[in-house]
Amino acid sequence: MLKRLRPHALSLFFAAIFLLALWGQSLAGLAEYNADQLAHGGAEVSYGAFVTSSAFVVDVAENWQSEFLQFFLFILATVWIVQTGSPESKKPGDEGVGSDREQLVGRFAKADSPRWARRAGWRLTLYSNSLLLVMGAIFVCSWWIQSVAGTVVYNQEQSEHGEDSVTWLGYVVTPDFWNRTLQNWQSEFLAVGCMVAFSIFLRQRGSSESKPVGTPHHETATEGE
Amino acid sequence: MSNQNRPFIVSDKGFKTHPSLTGCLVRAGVYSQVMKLVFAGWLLLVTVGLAYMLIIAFSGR
Repeated sequence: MLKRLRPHALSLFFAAIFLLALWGQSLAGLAEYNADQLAHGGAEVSYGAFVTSSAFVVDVAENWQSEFLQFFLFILATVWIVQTGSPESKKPGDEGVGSDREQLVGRFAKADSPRWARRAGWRLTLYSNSLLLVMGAIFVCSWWIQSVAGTVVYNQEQSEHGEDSVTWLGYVVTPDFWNRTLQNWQSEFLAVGCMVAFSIFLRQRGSSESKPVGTPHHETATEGE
Repeated sequence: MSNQNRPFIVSDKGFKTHPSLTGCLVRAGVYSQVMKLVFAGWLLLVTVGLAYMLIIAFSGR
């Protein structure tokens, strides 16, 4: 059984630690929420009530949107922008979407190429950008959810303090919304920038995210076997 | 399965060679089925997560 799972262990590993981390977040979030409730003279809530509340959702969604934005931008930027020496980048001079021959599409497709890579027209255009489109759609959807759940939580706090509630449009221009958003974005952009720059000179033997250990620093777009 | 027990295949250059286990599984279509499951599983995970959050956000709880 384990032998059969081994070729797919990377995705299974991340699925397992994702679920564990989400469960941990729900427990820690509940403890913090209830401590806050007691401090404000409110009643504690159950685990079920917490994980079905906007307070939990807004925290999950704000992290989801920033992660998917990170990969959306990384996929898009690496089409057009290069970094000499980084295995995360194409070689300088290779900027752009590439020719049909390089991309193995249309009449250059192989017998076992994906079906839509062998087609022309909208199917090929759609499939050629499918990764970016899906990551972008998940980003937009999670950011929207963050804004809606954030409005609910913000208005609950406004109500506790005897202040007026705001509409969704009113919330998306509040410092609270942009503080939640930008604190996540800055950390994602920092991590991606570090990955691009550090991987020029630093190595991890055996990782596909690193150049092979002996590869010269100036060499770009070479990944470990 | 040891290499000796695997059937020969003819390589692109015309040499008889032993296929790797991975190669055998790819030819048998096993890999593509499991890969489709992995892809569908992650897509389902994200879709269910988004739908769950969307319902709660719009419930106003």
